[in-house]
Amino acid sequence: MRISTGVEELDKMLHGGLIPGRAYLVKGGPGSGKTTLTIHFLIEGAKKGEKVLYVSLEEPVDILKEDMKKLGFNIDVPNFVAIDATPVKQKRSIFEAEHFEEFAKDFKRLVDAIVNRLKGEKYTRIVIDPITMLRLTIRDELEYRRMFIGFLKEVARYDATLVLTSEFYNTDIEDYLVSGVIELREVEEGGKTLRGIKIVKFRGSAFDESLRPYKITDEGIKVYHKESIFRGSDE
Amino acid sequence: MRIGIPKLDELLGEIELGSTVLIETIGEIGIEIAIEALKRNKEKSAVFLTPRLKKRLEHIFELGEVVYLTLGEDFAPQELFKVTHALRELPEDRFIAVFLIQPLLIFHPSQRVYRFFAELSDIANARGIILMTMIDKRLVDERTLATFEESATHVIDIVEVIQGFKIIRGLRIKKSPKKISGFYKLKIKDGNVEVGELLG
Ligand SMILES: Nc1ncnc2c1ncn2[C@@H]1O[C@H](COP(=O)(O)OP(=O)(O)OP(=O)(O)O)[C@@H](O)[C@H]1O
Ligand SMILES: [Mg+2]
Repeated sequence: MRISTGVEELDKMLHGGLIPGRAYLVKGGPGSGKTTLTIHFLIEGAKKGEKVLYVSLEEPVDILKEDMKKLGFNIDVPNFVAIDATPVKQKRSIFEAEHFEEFAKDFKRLVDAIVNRLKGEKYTRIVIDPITMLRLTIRDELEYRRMFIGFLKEVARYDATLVLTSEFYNTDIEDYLVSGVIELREVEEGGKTLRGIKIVKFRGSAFDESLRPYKITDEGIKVYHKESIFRGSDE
Repeated sequence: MRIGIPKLDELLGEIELGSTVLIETIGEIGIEIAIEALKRNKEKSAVFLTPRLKKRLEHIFELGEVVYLTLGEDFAPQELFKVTHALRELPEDRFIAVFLIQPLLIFHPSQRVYRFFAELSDIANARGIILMTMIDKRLVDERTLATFEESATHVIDIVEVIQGFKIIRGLRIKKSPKKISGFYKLKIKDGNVEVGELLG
């Protein structure tokens, strides 16, 4: 059984989609489409009547709603739960008297809050976008690793498919801990940025190992899953 | 398919679906051959071209029936993947694809253009599309030209010999499933191409 990413051509690259109930990482530079891709994924579930959870750690949810509307995604529906955990100047209680804006500073509190939500209601798809801040809250790498594994294990008990986003770092701690990694890469060519999507890891499945071109369009992400970029090291 | 130039059609025979026809030339000499093929097969063709050639074609015939994609408008020179994608997704009734996008050879290293061409040729073969393209021999080295020829099923070679103030143009079939030929006189006048007698 597979779960759609919401981008049909990416599902083909994944030989049918993601394996549900596991954790995945979408990595990419600024503006590469990480958020857009995760919204594709969540909307796909929401359209099927599933309950989905989006935790925003950087982009305020009202701005996200606006941007996604331009791409034809209405995330303002009851079964799409968006939590704003972005750091804000004045403390506000956004959700059930809990200070979600604080979570960016505190991995453990965020994990607890998410798990509490999962206990109360069934969510099939969860996105945390991005995990950058979480990593910054824990100095000790071993401690971060431990927290991260604990979180994945906890979420796994609720059968939800988890998608995390991150930037590229020097070290790839999360890459080893998740079931799959999808990278959104950029190549400069004659003054133009070409974008390429590459699955670098997908446990439990064969997958397309090539870098495939994609574009961000008025309808979101379009992957050219049969084409090649004709460029650089991937030539 | 037949191009519509009597002697050339005789030399080439019927071009089977899935073939790749490569015209090796100097600059744009002989582009009339591709234009003639397009003109004759308007409603079956798609053409990938430059804005300049688009204007030129518009003067020759009604482009309305031809499916076309323009370099710099429908795809950037960097976006070769859009071209392979377009060929893959070409409507069923379009089985002739003509590529008149020489500037790509200047924009990209020739190795890359070759890989691109080989990919186009593979798609054409798999889909039963006749692919026709031109290549300026001055823009690629011999090795690259040989790799292009390797991917093509038909190669039309155009040469130009200058004798004093006189220019003699010749055309030969350099590669074909049928048979190759010697050089024939190539006459181009007012946009019309004629293949004449065998050159000695
Ligand atoms: N209609 C559109 N056509 C082309 N590009 C678009 C369109 N709408 C948005 N974009 C581009 O999509 C990108 C934003 O995508 P998204 O927010 O998903 O990226 P991100 O990787 O999450 O970025 P960040 O690092 O800021 O979180 C921007 O680069 C923007 O220019
Ligand atoms: Mg984002």
